[in-house]
Amino acid sequence: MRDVGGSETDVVTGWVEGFEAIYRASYRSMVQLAYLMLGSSSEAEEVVQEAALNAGRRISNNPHAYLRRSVVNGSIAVLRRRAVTEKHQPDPPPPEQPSYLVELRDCLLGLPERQRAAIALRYLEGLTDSEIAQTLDCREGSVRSLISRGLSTLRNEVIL
Amino acid sequence: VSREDDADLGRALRTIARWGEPADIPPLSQLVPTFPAHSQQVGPPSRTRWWIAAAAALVLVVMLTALAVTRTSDDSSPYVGSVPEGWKAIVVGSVQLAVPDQWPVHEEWSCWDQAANNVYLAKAPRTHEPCSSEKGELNLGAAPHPIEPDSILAAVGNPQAGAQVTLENLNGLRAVLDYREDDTGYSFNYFVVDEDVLITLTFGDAADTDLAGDIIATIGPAPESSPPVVEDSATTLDPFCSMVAASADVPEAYVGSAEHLADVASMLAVAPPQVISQLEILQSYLASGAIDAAQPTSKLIENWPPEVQGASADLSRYSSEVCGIDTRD
Repeated sequence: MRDVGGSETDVVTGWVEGFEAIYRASYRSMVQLAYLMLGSSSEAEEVVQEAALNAGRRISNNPHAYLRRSVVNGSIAVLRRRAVTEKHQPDPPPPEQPSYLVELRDCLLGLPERQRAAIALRYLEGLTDSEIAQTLDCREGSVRSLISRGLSTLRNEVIL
Repeated sequence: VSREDDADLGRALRTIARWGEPADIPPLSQLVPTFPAHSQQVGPPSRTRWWIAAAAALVLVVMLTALAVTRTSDDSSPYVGSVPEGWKAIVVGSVQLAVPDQWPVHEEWSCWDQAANNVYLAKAPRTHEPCSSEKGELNLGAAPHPIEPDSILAAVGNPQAGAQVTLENLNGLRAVLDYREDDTGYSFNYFVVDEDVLITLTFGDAADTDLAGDIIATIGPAPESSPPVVEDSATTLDPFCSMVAASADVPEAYVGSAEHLADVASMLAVAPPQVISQLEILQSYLASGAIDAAQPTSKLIENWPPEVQGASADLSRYSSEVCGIDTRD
């Protein structure tokens, strides 16, 4: 019979291996999520890597949700830092993209940070109101309000 | 805003997100050089930490069990029904909500000149004379049954700029939301379908987003009223689940037929973002003519390409988990 120490080591080792798999499976989608909020692929990767560093160090019931929440919070932190530093220019779009997509991206990047996050979580991650509320630490009603207001701005400013 | 528009927006945002897709995935160990060592430096045996992990696993099991138990009855947030300090409860028909004490409440039907931070209520709004679209009320006079966002949109005609119509679940109550915004503020017009009640909340300040969310979160069945009838999930969730339910039991001849292809196209128009790409894969395969009515084996999913099998499996999983409809048999 293994002692408690062996069990603990197994748990932690299993956690590390399990988290590595989650990290690899989630990395691209998490970078895309951060990119929608930040408009910069390099910053998006930095945010995701920082979030993975933090999420990998603590055992949680739902590591994927924890990682996603860390990515959203990390992105919001970057946006707040930007607000007190300098005007940020998003990455240039890939060549030959339709102009309405560029307009949509720029309009999205002009939304308040929580509206931006709520829309990215709904349309990219496909989360429910409840899941978005947990990620943003707010009520479901607030999620509906954030999305309604964000979509209204997008639709008024960009012809979809 | 139709569901097609919603799907278009989802596709556009996913395209934009791919602009930021990384070229490769850096190994976790390179991000955190100390991370692998962390697992080896756990130190002497610690019962406390072992029990933390065990407790976490137990909590996960309890949460999953609770989720499985509650999913079938109500997917909405818990309705507390309490009235925050400094707020007042309002009951209209069998619906209750709460707003700040100082908010005026209007219960007599008229084509109000709406002001910010007011609540306007109407029972059986479809029996009243409709107002002009500029007034801001949701004109339900011509809306056919069953009331769904698209039929509301068609009935309203060409709503003013900034209007959005969506189907919402307010703590177990089905409601059509007509959200409007102009230079003076914004309003949430909730038509609570099964209770035949219209609730209009008006706001003037963009900073009221959180307040709006707090008020919306209080809308639910009045305490003295009967709890909302829990209907079959396929009819309460959304049109997509209803369509899945309708196509769950079909003859073999249906697979790959023109009717099948048309149904997939219809589903795509109302599909939630999670299953759009899978439906598109299925639609492309059906449209390719790969299924031959003269060759029954071509109708077997196991003979379909792996990508189509995967999409089909994802759709079945979604139908089972979200709609409560098992399509795998």
